[in-house]
Amino acid sequence: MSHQLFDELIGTPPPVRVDVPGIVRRERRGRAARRLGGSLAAVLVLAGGVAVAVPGQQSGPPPVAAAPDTRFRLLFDTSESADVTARRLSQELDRALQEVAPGATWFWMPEYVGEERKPDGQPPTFIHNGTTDLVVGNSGVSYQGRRGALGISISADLRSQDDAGFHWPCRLPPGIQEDSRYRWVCAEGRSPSGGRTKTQTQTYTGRRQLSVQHLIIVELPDKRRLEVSITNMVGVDESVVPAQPESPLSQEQVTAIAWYLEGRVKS
Amino acid sequence: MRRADEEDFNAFVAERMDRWRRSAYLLCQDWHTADDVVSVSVAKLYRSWRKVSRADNRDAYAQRVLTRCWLDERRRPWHNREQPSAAVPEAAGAVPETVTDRDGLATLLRSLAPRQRAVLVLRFYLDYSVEETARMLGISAGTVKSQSARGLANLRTAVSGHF
Repeated sequence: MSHQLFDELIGTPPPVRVDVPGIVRRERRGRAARRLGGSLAAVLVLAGGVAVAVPGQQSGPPPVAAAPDTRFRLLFDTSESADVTARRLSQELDRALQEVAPGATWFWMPEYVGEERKPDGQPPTFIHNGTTDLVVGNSGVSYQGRRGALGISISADLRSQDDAGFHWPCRLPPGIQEDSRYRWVCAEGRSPSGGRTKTQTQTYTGRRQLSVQHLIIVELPDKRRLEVSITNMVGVDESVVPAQPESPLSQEQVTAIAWYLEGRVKS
Repeated sequence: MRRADEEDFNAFVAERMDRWRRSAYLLCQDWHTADDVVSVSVAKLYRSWRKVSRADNRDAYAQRVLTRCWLDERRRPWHNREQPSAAVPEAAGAVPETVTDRDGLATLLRSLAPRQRAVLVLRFYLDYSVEETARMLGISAGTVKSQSARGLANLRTAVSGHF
């Protein structure tokens, strides 16, 4: 009878909003562990703070085409629109990398152990879940003799009205312990369009092989956030190894890629 | 994680998703937060899947992760802020003497401190023993007994003889 009472209180659960495949992909990349309270945090307050560029008056990098406004919208309302968005992101990321790090090349990085090898030289294929508002891309990058993994994700805060979202402050929430194996450098700021940002460099200081990661998270219009990261690690899962002590791109270059992508996205 | 482990993980999560969501909802009484807590728990389980998969009782391990996730979230500062709600909050002191319906149970759960609420859900919805509940929450069996006393007293009448 007690169970019945509890079940009456629960009622009929709404559709599941737990994106297990997305969680797995993020965890595979070893980044979610460093996202501090990423699922339950502060409210995203856009409040018109994001400037909507007037066609032809963008201050960001010039578009490749001569069209007055070649920016694009992040549409994930259908599987088809999400496909288009994912392809466009891949193209824009390729352009961003060439602008920020001329001569940098892509190389194939497996998603999982045993994945069939794919050709080098391709920008990441962004993965999405149809109508799910999450898109992720990850690939190997080689620049000036250094190699590593470049990862990009765009995700929505899970709620539309409640005060939850990404934890933007550098200061950890009470009760969250800093991982002593990593040395952290974190800075809060604003993007060129006015969105909140958090940049982090984390260096593994434990006994295992050295890893370094530069990361930036940028608040986008429509309650989304963009995350760009670079590490010096190559491989997947247990086979991940540092290619060299330094990552192929600097924190400044990662930030520049984020600014480029932010400038290409319409609200 | 190897592919076989990942398949094992995915099957484990899929089989328990409904149970986790239900228990998370009882803890927070908000489906958004419940799904957030479950999401964080799934990520933590994935991260430590080798350890989880070797646990004597994987269900209990997972439930412990989920419950502690929720308790951790409760300690975060934004929970002290005003939060929008579709429902008008219950008036203070409106906890019924006896719990005979869902509204009474909802009021009772809301009236309890987070850990007390967790004790109630673990003991009387998920049927964990006093000792199991104590291990999950990292408290003594005596504390479990004392913290469940109020809820038990309220529920006892509704389900007389069950406990």
